[in-house]
Amino acid sequence: MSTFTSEDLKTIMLATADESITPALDGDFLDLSFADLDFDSLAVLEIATRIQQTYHLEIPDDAIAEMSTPRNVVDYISGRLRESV
Amino acid sequence: MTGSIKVPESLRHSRILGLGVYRPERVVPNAELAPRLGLDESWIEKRSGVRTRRFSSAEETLPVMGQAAAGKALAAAGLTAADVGCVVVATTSHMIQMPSLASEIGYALGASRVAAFDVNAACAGFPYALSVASDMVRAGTATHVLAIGAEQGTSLFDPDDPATAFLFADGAGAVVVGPSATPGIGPVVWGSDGSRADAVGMTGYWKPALREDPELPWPRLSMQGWRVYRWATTELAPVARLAVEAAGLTMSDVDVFLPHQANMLIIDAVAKQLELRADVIVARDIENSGNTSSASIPLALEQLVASGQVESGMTALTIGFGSGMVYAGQVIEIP
Repeated sequence: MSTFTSEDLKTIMLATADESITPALDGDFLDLSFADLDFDSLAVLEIATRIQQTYHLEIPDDAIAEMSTPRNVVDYISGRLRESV
Repeated sequence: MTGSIKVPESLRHSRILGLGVYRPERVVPNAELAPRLGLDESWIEKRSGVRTRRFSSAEETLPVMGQAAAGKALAAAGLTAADVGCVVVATTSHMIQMPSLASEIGYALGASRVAAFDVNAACAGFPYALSVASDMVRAGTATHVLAIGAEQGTSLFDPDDPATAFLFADGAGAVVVGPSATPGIGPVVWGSDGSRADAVGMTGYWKPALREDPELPWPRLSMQGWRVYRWATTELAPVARLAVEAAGLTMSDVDVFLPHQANMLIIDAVAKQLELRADVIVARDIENSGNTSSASIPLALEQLVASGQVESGMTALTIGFGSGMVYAGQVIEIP
Protein backbone atom coordinates (compact mmCIF):
# COMPACT_ATOMS: atom_id res chain seq x y z
CA MET A 1 0.00 0.00 0.00
CA SER A 2 1.82 3.08 -1.15
CA THR A 3 -1.00 5.58 -1.32
CA PHE A 4 -3.25 7.09 1.32
CA THR A 5 -6.45 8.83 0.27
CA SER A 6 -9.22 10.67 2.03
CA GLU A 7 -11.35 7.52 1.60
CA ASP A 8 -8.71 5.47 3.45
CA LEU A 9 -8.75 7.99 6.28
CA LYS A 10 -12.55 8.03 6.34
CA THR A 11 -12.62 4.25 6.75
CA ILE A 12 -10.21 4.47 9.69
CA MET A 13 -12.10 7.36 11.27
CA LEU A 14 -15.40 5.47 11.08
CA ALA A 15 -13.76 2.38 12.57
CA THR A 16 -12.35 4.32 15.53
CA ALA A 17 -15.38 6.53 16.17
CA ASP A 18 -17.52 6.01 19.23
CA GLU A 19 -20.48 3.78 18.37
CA SER A 20 -22.89 6.27 19.89
CA ILE A 21 -21.73 9.01 17.53
CA THR A 22 -21.90 8.75 13.77
CA PRO A 23 -19.49 11.37 12.58
CA ALA A 24 -20.61 13.46 9.62
CA LEU A 25 -17.90 12.45 7.20
CA ASP A 26 -19.96 12.93 4.07
CA GLY A 27 -19.02 15.66 1.69
CA ASP A 28 -16.12 17.91 2.43
CA PHE A 29 -14.89 16.94 5.88
CA LEU A 30 -11.18 17.23 5.13
CA ASP A 31 -10.75 20.80 6.31
CA LEU A 32 -12.96 20.65 9.37
CA SER A 33 -11.09 20.39 12.65
CA PHE A 34 -11.06 17.06 14.42
CA ALA A 35 -12.66 18.84 17.39
CA ASP A 36 -15.59 19.95 15.21
CA LEU A 37 -15.92 16.38 13.96
CA ASP A 38 -16.15 15.15 17.60
CA PHE A 39 -12.73 13.51 17.52
CA ASP A 40 -10.78 14.49 20.64
CA SER A 41 -6.99 14.26 20.95
CA LEU A 42 -7.11 10.64 22.12
CA ALA A 43 -9.25 9.78 19.10
CA VAL A 44 -6.69 11.41 16.78
CA LEU A 45 -3.99 9.36 18.52
CA GLU A 46 -6.03 6.22 17.87
CA ILE A 47 -6.33 7.12 14.18
CA ALA A 48 -2.55 7.62 14.01
CA THR A 49 -1.95 4.33 15.83
CA ARG A 50 -4.15 2.41 13.39
CA ILE A 51 -2.38 4.01 10.43
CA GLN A 52 0.97 3.05 11.95
CA GLN A 53 -0.10 -0.58 12.21
CA THR A 54 -1.72 -0.77 8.79
CA TYR A 55 0.98 1.05 6.83
CA HIS A 56 3.99 0.01 8.97
CA LEU A 57 5.01 3.58 9.73
CA GLU A 58 6.41 5.14 12.90
CA ILE A 59 4.59 8.41 13.47
CA PRO A 60 6.39 10.65 16.00
CA ASP A 61 4.48 12.57 18.69
CA ASP A 62 5.34 15.90 17.11
CA ALA A 63 3.72 14.85 13.82
CA ILE A 64 0.55 13.79 15.64
CA ALA A 65 0.52 17.13 17.46
CA GLU A 66 0.28 18.84 14.06
CA MET A 67 -2.73 16.79 12.93
CA SER A 68 -5.60 19.17 13.55
CA THR A 69 -7.68 18.36 10.44
CA PRO A 70 -8.18 15.22 8.35
CA ARG A 71 -6.33 16.91 5.49
CA ASN A 72 -3.25 17.26 7.71
CA VAL A 73 -3.32 13.49 8.19
CA VAL A 74 -3.79 12.66 4.50
CA ASP A 75 -0.99 15.04 3.51
CA TYR A 76 1.39 13.74 6.16
CA ILE A 77 0.76 10.05 5.52
CA SER A 78 0.84 10.46 1.74
CA GLY A 79 4.18 12.24 2.04
CA ARG A 80 5.62 9.54 4.28
CA LEU A 81 4.48 6.78 1.92
CA ARG A 82 6.01 8.58 -1.07
CA GLU A 83 9.30 8.87 0.83
CA SER A 84 9.29 5.18 1.60
CA VAL A 85 8.78 4.07 -2.04
CA MET B 1 43.87 6.14 59.70
CA THR B 2 43.50 5.04 63.29
CA GLY B 3 40.19 3.17 63.09
CA SER B 4 37.88 1.54 60.58
CA ILE B 5 34.39 2.78 59.79
CA LYS B 6 31.69 0.50 61.15
CA VAL B 7 28.54 -0.24 59.13
CA PRO B 8 25.73 -2.78 59.51
CA GLU B 9 27.06 -6.18 58.45
CA SER B 10 24.22 -7.24 56.18
CA LEU B 11 20.94 -6.08 54.75
CA ARG B 12 17.71 -7.05 56.46
CA HIS B 13 14.26 -7.41 54.90
CA SER B 14 11.58 -4.71 54.86
CA ARG B 15 7.84 -4.56 54.49
CA ILE B 16 4.87 -2.24 54.85
CA LEU B 17 3.69 -2.46 58.47
CA GLY B 18 0.76 -0.06 58.33
CA LEU B 19 -1.31 2.01 55.90
CA GLY B 20 -3.37 5.16 56.45
CA VAL B 21 -5.05 7.73 54.20
CA TYR B 22 -6.82 11.05 54.34
CA ARG B 23 -9.58 11.87 51.87
CA PRO B 24 -10.85 15.47 51.91
CA GLU B 25 -14.45 15.89 53.05
CA ARG B 26 -15.85 17.52 49.94
CA VAL B 27 -16.92 15.18 47.13
CA VAL B 28 -17.04 16.91 43.75
CA PRO B 29 -19.06 15.21 40.99
CA ASN B 30 -18.45 15.73 37.28
CA ALA B 31 -21.68 17.73 37.08
CA GLU B 32 -20.10 20.47 39.18
CA LEU B 33 -17.09 20.90 36.90
CA ALA B 34 -18.35 20.08 33.41
CA PRO B 35 -20.21 23.33 32.56
CA ARG B 36 -17.30 25.61 33.46
CA LEU B 37 -14.93 23.47 31.37
CA GLY B 38 -17.28 23.26 28.38
CA LEU B 39 -17.30 19.46 28.67
CA ASP B 40 -20.03 16.82 28.90
CA GLU B 41 -20.20 14.88 32.16
CA SER B 42 -20.35 11.69 30.12
CA TRP B 43 -17.20 12.64 28.16
CA ILE B 44 -15.27 13.15 31.40
CA GLU B 45 -16.25 9.73 32.68
CA LYS B 46 -15.69 7.98 29.36
CA ARG B 47 -12.27 9.52 28.70
CA SER B 48 -10.86 9.48 32.25
CA GLY B 49 -12.95 7.09 34.34
CA VAL B 50 -13.48 9.81 36.95
CA ARG B 51 -17.01 10.11 38.39
CA THR B 52 -16.21 12.04 41.56
CA ARG B 53 -13.09 13.41 43.22
CA ARG B 54 -12.24 15.14 46.52
CA PHE B 55 -11.19 18.79 46.78
CA SER B 56 -9.65 19.98 50.04
CA SER B 57 -10.94 22.93 52.08
CA ALA B 58 -8.82 25.78 53.43
CA GLU B 59 -8.42 23.82 56.66
CA GLU B 60 -7.39 20.61 54.88
CA THR B 61 -3.83 21.70 54.12
CA LEU B 62 -1.06 19.38 52.94
CA PRO B 63 0.44 19.08 56.45
CA VAL B 64 -3.02 18.38 57.92
CA MET B 65 -3.83 15.70 55.34
CA GLY B 66 -0.34 14.20 55.51
CA GLN B 67 -0.33 14.11 59.30
CA ALA B 68 -3.77 12.49 59.40
CA ALA B 69 -2.73 9.77 56.95
CA ALA B 70 0.57 9.19 58.76
CA GLY B 71 -1.12 8.98 62.16
CA LYS B 72 -3.46 6.27 60.87
CA ALA B 73 -0.55 4.36 59.30
CA LEU B 74 1.36 4.44 62.60
CA ALA B 75 -1.71 3.28 64.52
CA ALA B 76 -2.24 0.44 62.03
CA ALA B 77 1.39 -0.60 62.57
CA GLY B 78 1.01 -0.41 66.35
CA LEU B 79 3.70 2.28 66.52
CA THR B 80 3.99 5.89 67.65
CA ALA B 81 5.80 8.90 66.24
CA ALA B 82 8.68 8.19 68.62
CA ASP B 83 9.40 5.01 66.67
CA VAL B 84 9.91 6.82 63.37
CA GLY B 85 13.49 7.34 62.17
CA CYS B 86 12.73 9.25 58.99
CA VAL B 87 9.78 10.90 57.24
CA VAL B 88 9.85 10.89 53.43
CA VAL B 89 7.09 12.82 51.69
CA ALA B 90 6.40 12.54 47.98
CA THR B 91 4.68 15.69 46.79
CA THR B 92 4.58 17.93 43.74
CA SER B 93 2.08 20.45 45.06
CA HIS B 94 3.77 21.79 48.19
CA MET B 95 3.78 25.42 47.05
CA ILE B 96 6.77 26.54 49.07
CA GLN B 97 10.46 25.77 48.58
CA MET B 98 11.22 25.38 52.30
CA PRO B 99 10.76 24.08 54.88
CA SER B 100 9.95 20.65 53.53
CA LEU B 101 6.48 19.18 53.97
CA ALA B 102 8.15 16.18 55.61
CA SER B 103 9.61 18.31 58.40
CA GLU B 104 6.21 19.96 58.97
CA ILE B 105 4.46 16.59 59.15
CA GLY B 106 7.15 15.13 61.43
CA TYR B 107 6.79 18.06 63.79
CA ALA B 108 2.99 17.88 63.72
CA LEU B 109 3.18 14.18 64.59
CA GLY B 110 5.32 14.96 67.61
CA ALA B 111 8.52 13.57 66.10
CA SER B 112 10.16 16.95 66.19
CA ARG B 113 13.73 15.72 65.72
CA VAL B 114 13.06 13.10 63.07
CA ALA B 115 15.05 13.04 59.82
CA ALA B 116 12.74 14.45 57.15
CA PHE B 117 12.82 15.32 53.46
CA ASP B 118 10.57 15.61 50.41
CA VAL B 119 10.80 13.73 47.13
CA ASN B 120 9.59 15.24 43.87
CA ALA B 121 8.95 12.48 41.38
CA ALA B 122 5.60 13.84 40.23
CA CYS B 123 2.96 11.11 39.95
CA ALA B 124 5.65 8.43 40.50
CA GLY B 125 6.41 9.98 43.88
CA PHE B 126 4.98 7.27 46.09
CA PRO B 127 6.92 4.33 44.61
CA TYR B 128 10.08 6.47 44.71
CA ALA B 129 9.51 7.31 48.39
CA LEU B 130 8.64 3.69 49.18
CA SER B 131 11.80 2.46 47.52
CA VAL B 132 13.96 4.94 49.44
CA ALA B 133 12.19 4.04 52.69
CA SER B 134 12.67 0.34 52.07
CA ASP B 135 16.37 0.77 51.33
CA MET B 136 16.82 2.83 54.52
CA VAL B 137 15.24 0.08 56.58
CA ARG B 138 17.19 -2.64 54.80
CA ALA B 139 20.51 -0.86 55.24
CA GLY B 140 19.87 -0.03 58.88
CA THR B 141 19.79 3.73 58.31
CA ALA B 142 16.42 3.81 60.07
CA THR B 143 14.27 1.19 61.75
CA HIS B 144 10.88 2.64 60.83
CA VAL B 145 10.27 5.08 57.98
CA LEU B 146 7.09 6.93 57.11
CA ALA B 147 6.61 7.12 53.33
CA ILE B 148 3.84 9.59 52.57
CA GLY B 149 2.22 10.85 49.37
CA ALA B 150 0.35 14.13 49.85
CA GLU B 151 -1.10 16.27 47.09
CA GLN B 152 -3.35 19.19 46.33
CA GLY B 153 -3.89 19.08 42.60
CA THR B 154 -6.21 22.03 43.17
CA SER B 155 -3.12 24.17 43.92
CA LEU B 156 -1.61 23.36 40.56
CA PHE B 157 -4.29 23.19 37.89
CA ASP B 158 -6.12 26.06 36.26
CA PRO B 159 -9.82 25.62 37.17
CA ASP B 160 -10.68 26.68 33.60
CA ASP B 161 -8.36 24.19 31.87
CA PRO B 162 -10.46 21.46 30.21
CA ALA B 163 -7.38 19.23 29.94
CA THR B 164 -6.59 18.98 33.66
CA ALA B 165 -9.26 20.49 35.91
CA PHE B 166 -11.55 17.44 35.82
CA LEU B 167 -8.71 14.98 36.35
CA PHE B 168 -6.51 16.07 39.25
CA ALA B 169 -7.59 16.12 42.87
CA ASP B 170 -6.49 16.14 46.51
CA GLY B 171 -5.64 13.58 49.18
CA ALA B 172 -2.90 11.88 51.16
CA GLY B 173 -1.75 8.34 51.86
CA ALA B 174 0.98 7.00 54.10
CA VAL B 175 2.71 3.75 54.95
CA VAL B 176 5.11 2.77 57.70
CA VAL B 177 8.00 0.68 56.41
CA GLY B 178 9.92 -1.42 58.91
CA PRO B 179 12.03 -4.54 59.37
CA SER B 180 10.61 -7.91 58.42
CA ALA B 181 11.56 -11.56 58.77
CA THR B 182 10.71 -12.08 55.10
CA PRO B 183 10.92 -9.75 52.06
CA GLY B 184 7.79 -7.60 51.74
CA ILE B 185 8.98 -4.98 49.26
CA GLY B 186 10.67 -6.08 46.05
CA PRO B 187 13.49 -4.29 44.22
CA VAL B 188 12.43 -1.10 42.43
CA VAL B 189 12.70 -0.82 38.65
CA TRP B 190 12.79 2.86 37.85
CA GLY B 191 13.95 5.51 35.43
CA SER B 192 13.07 8.70 33.60
CA ASP B 193 12.80 10.16 30.11
CA GLY B 194 13.60 13.85 30.32
CA SER B 195 13.02 14.29 26.57
CA ARG B 196 9.27 14.20 27.18
CA ALA B 197 8.97 17.40 29.19
CA ASP B 198 6.13 18.59 26.94
CA ALA B 199 3.77 15.78 27.97
CA VAL B 200 3.11 17.06 31.53
CA GLY B 201 4.66 20.10 33.17
CA MET B 202 3.96 23.69 34.02
CA THR B 203 2.84 26.57 31.80
CA GLY B 204 5.71 28.82 32.88
CA TYR B 205 8.57 29.51 35.25
CA TRP B 206 8.64 31.52 38.46
CA LYS B 207 12.20 32.47 37.65
CA PRO B 208 13.29 34.24 35.59
CA ALA B 209 10.02 34.83 33.69
CA LEU B 210 7.53 35.69 36.44
CA ARG B 211 10.15 37.39 38.57
CA GLU B 212 11.10 39.72 35.73
CA ASP B 213 7.52 40.33 34.59
CA PRO B 214 5.01 40.02 37.45
CA GLU B 215 2.20 40.62 34.93
CA LEU B 216 2.73 37.18 33.45
CA PRO B 217 0.12 34.54 34.31
CA TRP B 218 0.79 32.37 37.33
CA PRO B 219 2.38 29.06 36.22
CA ARG B 220 -0.13 26.21 36.18
CA LEU B 221 -0.14 22.52 35.50
CA SER B 222 -0.26 21.73 31.80
CA MET B 223 -0.77 18.35 30.20
CA GLN B 224 -1.18 16.86 26.78
CA GLY B 225 -3.01 13.76 27.89
CA TRP B 226 -2.63 11.89 24.62
CA ARG B 227 1.17 12.16 24.86
CA VAL B 228 1.04 10.67 28.38
CA TYR B 229 -1.35 7.93 27.21
CA ARG B 230 0.87 7.05 24.26
CA TRP B 231 4.03 6.93 26.38
CA ALA B 232 2.38 5.00 29.21
CA THR B 233 0.79 2.39 26.97
CA THR B 234 4.14 1.84 25.23
CA GLU B 235 6.64 1.98 28.10
CA LEU B 236 4.95 0.85 31.32
CA ALA B 237 4.18 -2.81 30.70
CA PRO B 238 7.86 -3.71 30.07
CA VAL B 239 8.83 -1.90 33.30
CA ALA B 240 6.11 -3.74 35.22
CA ARG B 241 7.33 -7.08 33.87
CA LEU B 242 10.90 -6.23 34.94
CA ALA B 243 9.68 -5.35 38.45
CA VAL B 244 7.99 -8.75 38.74
CA GLU B 245 11.12 -10.46 37.43
CA ALA B 246 13.34 -8.48 39.82
CA ALA B 247 11.24 -9.81 42.70
CA GLY B 248 11.90 -13.36 41.50
CA LEU B 249 8.24 -13.86 40.58
CA THR B 250 6.19 -14.38 37.45
CA MET B 251 3.09 -12.46 36.38
CA SER B 252 0.95 -15.41 37.51
CA ASP B 253 2.12 -14.74 41.11
CA VAL B 254 0.57 -11.25 41.07
CA ASP B 255 -2.78 -11.04 42.93
CA VAL B 256 -3.33 -7.29 42.74
CA PHE B 257 -2.43 -4.68 40.11
CA LEU B 258 -1.98 -1.31 41.80
CA PRO B 259 -0.95 1.31 39.23
CA HIS B 260 -0.85 5.07 39.69
CA GLN B 261 -4.42 6.26 39.15
CA ALA B 262 -3.72 8.55 36.19
CA ASN B 263 -6.59 7.70 33.89
CA MET B 264 -8.86 4.65 33.62
CA LEU B 265 -7.95 4.22 29.95
CA ILE B 266 -4.25 3.83 30.85
CA ILE B 267 -5.05 1.49 33.75
CA ASP B 268 -7.18 -0.74 31.50
CA ALA B 269 -4.69 -0.71 28.59
CA VAL B 270 -1.67 -1.59 30.74
CA ALA B 271 -3.60 -4.25 32.69
CA LYS B 272 -4.53 -5.86 29.37
CA GLN B 273 -0.95 -5.73 28.08
CA LEU B 274 0.32 -7.48 31.22
CA GLU B 275 -1.92 -10.51 30.61
CA LEU B 276 -2.73 -10.71 34.31
CA ARG B 277 -4.48 -13.72 35.83
CA ALA B 278 -8.24 -13.51 35.26
CA ASP B 279 -8.89 -13.13 39.01
CA VAL B 280 -6.36 -10.33 39.59
CA ILE B 281 -7.84 -7.34 41.40
CA VAL B 282 -7.12 -4.11 39.49
CA ALA B 283 -7.18 -0.85 41.49
CA ARG B 284 -9.66 1.60 39.95
CA ASP B 285 -9.89 4.20 42.71
CA ILE B 286 -9.60 6.95 40.07
CA GLU B 287 -13.36 6.56 39.70
CA ASN B 288 -13.97 8.27 43.05
CA SER B 289 -10.65 9.94 43.84
CA GLY B 290 -9.49 11.38 40.50
CA ASN B 291 -5.77 11.58 39.87
CA THR B 292 -4.13 12.41 43.21
CA SER B 293 -0.58 12.16 41.85
CA SER B 294 1.84 10.98 44.58
CA ALA B 295 -1.05 10.00 46.84
CA SER B 296 -2.94 7.81 44.36
CA ILE B 297 -1.28 4.45 45.04
CA PRO B 298 -1.77 4.40 48.85
CA LEU B 299 -5.30 5.81 48.41
CA ALA B 300 -6.12 3.10 45.87
CA LEU B 301 -4.64 0.42 48.12
CA GLU B 302 -6.70 1.62 51.07
CA GLN B 303 -9.86 1.54 48.94
CA LEU B 304 -9.17 -2.10 48.03
CA VAL B 305 -8.41 -3.05 51.65
CA ALA B 306 -11.39 -1.16 53.11
CA SER B 307 -13.82 -2.67 50.61
CA GLY B 308 -12.52 -6.16 51.36
CA GLN B 309 -11.33 -6.76 47.81
CA VAL B 310 -7.78 -7.56 48.92
CA GLU B 311 -6.34 -9.24 52.00
CA SER B 312 -3.15 -8.99 53.98
CA GLY B 313 -0.39 -11.11 52.48
CA MET B 314 -1.50 -10.80 48.86
CA THR B 315 1.13 -9.89 46.26
CA ALA B 316 0.62 -6.53 44.56
CA LEU B 317 2.39 -5.04 41.56
CA THR B 318 2.67 -1.25 41.84
CA ILE B 319 3.81 1.15 39.18
CA GLY B 320 3.93 4.93 39.25
CA PHE B 321 4.65 7.35 36.41
CA GLY B 322 4.49 11.06 35.79
CA SER B 323 6.02 14.34 34.70
CA GLY B 324 9.65 14.10 33.52
CA MET B 325 8.30 10.84 32.44
CA VAL B 326 9.66 9.32 35.62
CA TYR B 327 8.50 5.85 36.53
CA ALA B 328 9.01 3.26 39.25
CA GLY B 329 7.57 -0.20 39.73
CA GLN B 330 7.92 -2.73 42.50
CA VAL B 331 6.17 -5.72 43.98
CA ILE B 332 4.83 -5.39 47.53
CA GLU B 333 3.09 -7.60 50.02
CA ILE B 334 -0.27 -6.15 51.10
CA PRO B 335 0.07 -5.18 54.79
